[in-house]
Amino acid sequence: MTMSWEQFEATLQRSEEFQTFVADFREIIGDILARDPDSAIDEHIIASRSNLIDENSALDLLVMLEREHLLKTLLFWPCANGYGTSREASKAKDFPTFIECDRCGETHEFDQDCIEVRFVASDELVNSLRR
Amino acid sequence: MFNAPSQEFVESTVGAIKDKFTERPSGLDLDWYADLPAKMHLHYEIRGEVVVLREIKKVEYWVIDRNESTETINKQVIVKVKKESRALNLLRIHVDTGLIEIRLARASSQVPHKLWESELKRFADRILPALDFKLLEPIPIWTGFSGQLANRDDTYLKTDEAHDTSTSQRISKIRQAGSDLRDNPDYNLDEDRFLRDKLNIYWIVVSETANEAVVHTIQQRVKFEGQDLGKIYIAQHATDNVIDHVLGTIRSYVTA
Repeated sequence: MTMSWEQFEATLQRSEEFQTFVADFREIIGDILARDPDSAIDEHIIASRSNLIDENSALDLLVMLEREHLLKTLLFWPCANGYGTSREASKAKDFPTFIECDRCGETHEFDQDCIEVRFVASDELVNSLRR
Repeated sequence: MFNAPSQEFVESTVGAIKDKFTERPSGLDLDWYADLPAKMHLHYEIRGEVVVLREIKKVEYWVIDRNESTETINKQVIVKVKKESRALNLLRIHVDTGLIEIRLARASSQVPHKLWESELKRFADRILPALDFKLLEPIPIWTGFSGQLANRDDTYLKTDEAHDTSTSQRISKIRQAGSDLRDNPDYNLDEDRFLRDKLNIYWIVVSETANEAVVHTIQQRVKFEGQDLGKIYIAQHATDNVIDHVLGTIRSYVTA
């Protein structure tokens, strides 16, 4: 069952480790999703926008959110010619060996090393932050 | 896409096609329909107001076999296997309007924007007995790019690139799904100061039966033998009706 953001925040407040980050984390996630609810988020983005949260802590927080089904992990296959994402999938095995890229029109071959992992928001998270 | 210089030109070209090429055989020719035709076919066909010269052939290309390819600490062996597929190239002449289209199959997994040039040259040489396509007037589809971008009802944008006098910019959505790139607050490439020779845009086509087709097009202004041409790459299979609709819509935005 999915936790609400408020419940998640309350959990964080009880944790000594994350207590100082909570307000900052909420503001950053809220800003990102208010700008674009389809945003793809990772620890680098969180850490770059915060003076309090480093990348390790940001990743811990994102993984906690994912565990509560407020975020989900997505894999991104970037276009080899730099036109954004050729394909996204939940699991690596869902990617085909070759893809006709709809960003550049060329065919790309799957390369596990190029896959990027990011988090995207559940509807519940987007709605919680709007409330 | 081209315009014929005159109606007389259209009529003489259709006459030359009938004179120099044979009509599509009326009987059942299994090789015509084969996935891998044994020989190259080039026949014309009259479909109402459209005269179609159709080339059907088998093409071959190489792809890497990842299962057979190996890599050790000091040796990399890449195995490529030959693939074959059917390719269909068309010359379509709309007798009533003078619109002339050349449609080339991608016919390879290789880089299409490098393949089109040699394939167009080869096809142009093949149809030369009936039509010297250098005499045609290319339709400047690039003059309609701004108009297409302004159409938010029938189009969808995931990536865009353009330049002004001091910068060139490319902006792409990370997510596949979700909102249109033009909804992103950072998107401004639809402003008048930006120029572009390329437009990568999806067309949402709703048919009479209310079925929706999404057609991905990459439209480009390209140079071919010193002439500016409008090239439209259509990424996926689509019915003739859908392709005709998309091409017609693209043409309707041309301002020159």
